[in-house]
Amino acid sequence: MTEVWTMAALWVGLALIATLFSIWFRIATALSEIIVGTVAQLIIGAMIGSAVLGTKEPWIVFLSGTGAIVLTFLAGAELDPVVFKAKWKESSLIGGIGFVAPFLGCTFIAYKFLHWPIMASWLAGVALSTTSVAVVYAVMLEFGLNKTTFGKSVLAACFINDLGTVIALGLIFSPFTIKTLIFVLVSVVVFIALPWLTPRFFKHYGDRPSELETKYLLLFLFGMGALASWAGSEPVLPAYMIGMVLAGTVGKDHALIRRLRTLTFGLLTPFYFIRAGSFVSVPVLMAAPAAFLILFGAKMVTKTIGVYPVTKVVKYPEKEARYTTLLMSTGLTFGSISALFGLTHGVIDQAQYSYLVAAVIASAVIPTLIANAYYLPRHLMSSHHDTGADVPEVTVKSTKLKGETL
Amino acid sequence: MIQKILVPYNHGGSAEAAFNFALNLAKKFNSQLFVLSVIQLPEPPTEVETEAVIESSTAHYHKLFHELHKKAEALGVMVHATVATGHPEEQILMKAEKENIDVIVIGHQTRVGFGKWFLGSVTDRVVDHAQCTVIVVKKEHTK
Repeated sequence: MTEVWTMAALWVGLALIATLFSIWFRIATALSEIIVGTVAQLIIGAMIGSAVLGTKEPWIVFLSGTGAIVLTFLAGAELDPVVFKAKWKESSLIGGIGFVAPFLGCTFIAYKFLHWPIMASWLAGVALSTTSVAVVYAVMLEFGLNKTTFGKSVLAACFINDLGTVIALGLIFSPFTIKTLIFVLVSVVVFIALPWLTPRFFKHYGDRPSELETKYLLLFLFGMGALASWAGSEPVLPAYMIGMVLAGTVGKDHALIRRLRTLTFGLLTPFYFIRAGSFVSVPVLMAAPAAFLILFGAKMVTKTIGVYPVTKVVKYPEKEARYTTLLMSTGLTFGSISALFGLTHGVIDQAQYSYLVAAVIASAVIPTLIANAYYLPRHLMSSHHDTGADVPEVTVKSTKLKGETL
Repeated sequence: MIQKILVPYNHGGSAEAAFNFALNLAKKFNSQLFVLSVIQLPEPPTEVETEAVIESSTAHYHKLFHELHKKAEALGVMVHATVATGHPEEQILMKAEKENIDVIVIGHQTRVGFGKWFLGSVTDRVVDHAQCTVIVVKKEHTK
């Protein structure tokens, strides 16, 4: 066991360094962990050997995979079912096109211009079809747009977009056998039953120190993950769906969500993102940056071609249309999950993985900067902005002044 | 006449000094005091972490607001405390504009070297772009 504990200490040490960097430079912990993973592999690999990090050790693969599953579940649970129900028609159109256009476009460009094999090209299409609900949410929140009709529609559209990505990831690379059919049928039953069963089960047995809720959720996530894997699909697909169907119940239990986040950020996702970063080859990126630029450009262009005309169809004014298009061109979490799926399942090689992850990271940062710098719909802000939206304003004291001297 | 004062507050030494200064100013001029704490999200915002940062920071600032409330109550000053999300300088300027603030009282930031180049100084930007008077309070100010 000495070797396992030593390796665990090394990984947690890297996670700690990544967290410190994220605090110092105010960057997302996931991004910091990917970068630390890349640099650690580069340095440790060159000095001692690439096997030192043990990225293929079963227990590291397990923790990393669990990180992806629980993170995806939590991302799905952030859905606001009320907004989703109110705006599903408009949002489905924008979100659907926001997924389909880059998915098909990037697949075509990877196949035609980068001469990737067809399955690798499909994987590129999936990884670059994502959007980032978090980026959109944060920008909306900053300018108080999340309470506007416009903001709610765009947020709901992002969930639809990512749902398309996760379904594509879960089904395209599946062999489509009787196992796939069983997986789909069981999934439908579970997704219908869970919103009914879960609140009742938690009401009877939950809210105890034994953390029954966490065990219950992990049972379904692992169980459906196992079924997905058995059917040749990807465990994050049922995890995201379970998150979405439980958003109205579990998603509103803030104490439970906080405990799950502690487990996720404290132990699981560092293994996931550091591992994801450790597979990125910097020398490959430096040697041929054109592939990265083509993939990034492909995502931006196809998102624009897809989303912009639809925003005009649903009669968004010019600024909102451009803003929505740029925000929906972002994406980090599901992009990196898709890329790592491709690498670990032999769909893409390490060079293709490196280009994809670099393009995914660029797509998380650059469109947001452009959107905020040039296309912010300020007239919506002036009429709706109220101190950063979801965060409540608190008047701490309303005592009449006495006009005394200083 | 100073009717409305805004204090950006992030619980540092200089923010504390700025709040105390603004509180005394509000008392002297019979002004309303607006306190604004800004949650700065990590870039790029990512799924789950964004919500976690907002929740924990909001809870943190609400605790601090209770301390400020006690101080204000002792002097009989009206305080409106708010938490916003985004880039601090932008939120401060927007709040000042929205509430027709007469004076912004802000703590002095001592960021040097790489930190100043990379992250900049919120105080500098507020001083540069605010349309009202800005008072910068040094951490050492105790009067």
